[in-house]
Amino acid sequence: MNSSYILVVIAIYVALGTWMAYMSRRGMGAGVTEYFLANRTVGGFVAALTYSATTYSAFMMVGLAGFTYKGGVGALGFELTYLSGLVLAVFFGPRFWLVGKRYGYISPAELLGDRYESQWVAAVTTLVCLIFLIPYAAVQLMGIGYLLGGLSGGTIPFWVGLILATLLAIVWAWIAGLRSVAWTDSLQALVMLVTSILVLLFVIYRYFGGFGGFFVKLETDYPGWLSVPGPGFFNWKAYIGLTLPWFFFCISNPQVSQRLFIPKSMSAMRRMLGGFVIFGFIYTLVSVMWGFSTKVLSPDLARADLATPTLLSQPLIPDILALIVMVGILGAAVSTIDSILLTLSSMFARDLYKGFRPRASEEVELRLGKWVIPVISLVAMIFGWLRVGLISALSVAASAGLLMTVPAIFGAFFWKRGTASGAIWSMILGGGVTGFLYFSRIRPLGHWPAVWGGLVCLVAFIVVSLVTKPPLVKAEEFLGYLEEELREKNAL
Amino acid sequence: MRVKRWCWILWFGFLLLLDYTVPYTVLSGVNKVYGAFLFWNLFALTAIGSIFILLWKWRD
Repeated sequence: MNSSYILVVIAIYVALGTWMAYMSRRGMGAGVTEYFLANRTVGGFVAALTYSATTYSAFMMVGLAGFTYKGGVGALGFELTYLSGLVLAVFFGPRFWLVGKRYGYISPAELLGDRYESQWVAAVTTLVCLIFLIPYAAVQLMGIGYLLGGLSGGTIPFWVGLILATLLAIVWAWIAGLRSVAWTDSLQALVMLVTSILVLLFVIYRYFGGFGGFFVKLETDYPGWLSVPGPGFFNWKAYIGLTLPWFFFCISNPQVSQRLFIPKSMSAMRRMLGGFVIFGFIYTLVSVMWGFSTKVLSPDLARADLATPTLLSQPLIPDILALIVMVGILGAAVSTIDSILLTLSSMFARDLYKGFRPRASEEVELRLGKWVIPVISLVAMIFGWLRVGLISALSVAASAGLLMTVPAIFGAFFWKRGTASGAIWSMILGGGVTGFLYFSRIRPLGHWPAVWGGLVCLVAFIVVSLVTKPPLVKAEEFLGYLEEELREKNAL
Repeated sequence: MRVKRWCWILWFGFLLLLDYTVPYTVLSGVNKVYGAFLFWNLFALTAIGSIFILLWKWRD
């Protein structure tokens, strides 16, 4: 594809996004809560779109389509299992929101630190998130470099995409914090969804004459792709290993769980979660159908992650449509990266700096948080530039690594006996085991690292908590308040 | 509230049990769209419907 067309479309996207980011500054107040949480006043529609755009990265249209191409319908089960995990947000959403307002939390790590009465819990949680999420962001940046390079036939070098995505993420997060991130996310979420549906309809009707013809062709040519384990990739151990960390994604990933603090009311949170599950269901089906379509149209690709670029380069797909989808994929990646940046910077300022310097002013905390945004971005960009193997491995391990925060989160809301030591050791031991198994590629009894890491993490949390002293006064006050408020809000 | 909470937890646990077992047992030899593909869609729609029921009970 002509690289000048690509650059023109990107220029329009950048201009529109930056204009929206500036517009979002209107009525913006001062302070940390305003910058990182938009003062907890986000309406349901924007909240649903930013939640969707943050959750769904470029993985969906590239990775999930590739999974489907390689492993068949198991990819659908995997992603829909994740979506069903949103039931956790129904339980945890009101809890995060209520205690967030009462105690003024701005990050999930701060919540844990306060509940367990230990700044070290917040610090360890933050470190776990930094270790796993910076490589994840780096891989998203690399993806944009490869996408633009691939679509332009190599005319646009890898580093151009990498730098472009880094700058966009920095600027859109910097301009107005969560406000600019949420507004640009909203634009990008709509582009992601609409463009992916357009391509699917185009492919299905142009190549197969409709959905009926498509499914008949799929059943005839690739019947094994419609059952599990099917071609073999989605054997049940792989299925458990993949779905386990993803089921807990909505509470384990801080860039997502931090969004549970932002709705302006319970009604807004209802619209946020309700809107997201509808968005997620459609987007999942579309991404999976992309993978199936490519399997039927180009069955002999050397690598499954080429499925989406191959689909977009089909002769009947007009260039303009491929270009718009490119913006959709770019938007999916940027919207995830800038949210990760903003969340990590808030955790750095609140949980690593202010937590250990309680007398530090809010102004200093905010200034530090804002300056951490470009620093973390540059670190991610350098990782992406060097294309270090370790970074890819950490990125793959990200969801499993963040799973290690889950027992401490459950304990905070449902177990008075949980302790700071239990939380800290569960994250350290669970994270260590998960990391070790990923790097060594050892899979005891054939099970994936998330399973073993999760088990060690859970046992460590329970055992260490039982032999150490819990903060019972805080637990009583925290959980007592929640129980009362939840009853009033009629939430479970 | 506590009883209601446990009922919902059991219901979602049951759905998840189906999610992990049905496609790998009953439907593992069904290479048709009405096999695992349809099952997982129905599973997700049931979960989403249940989520909506809970969300719509919330009060401001």
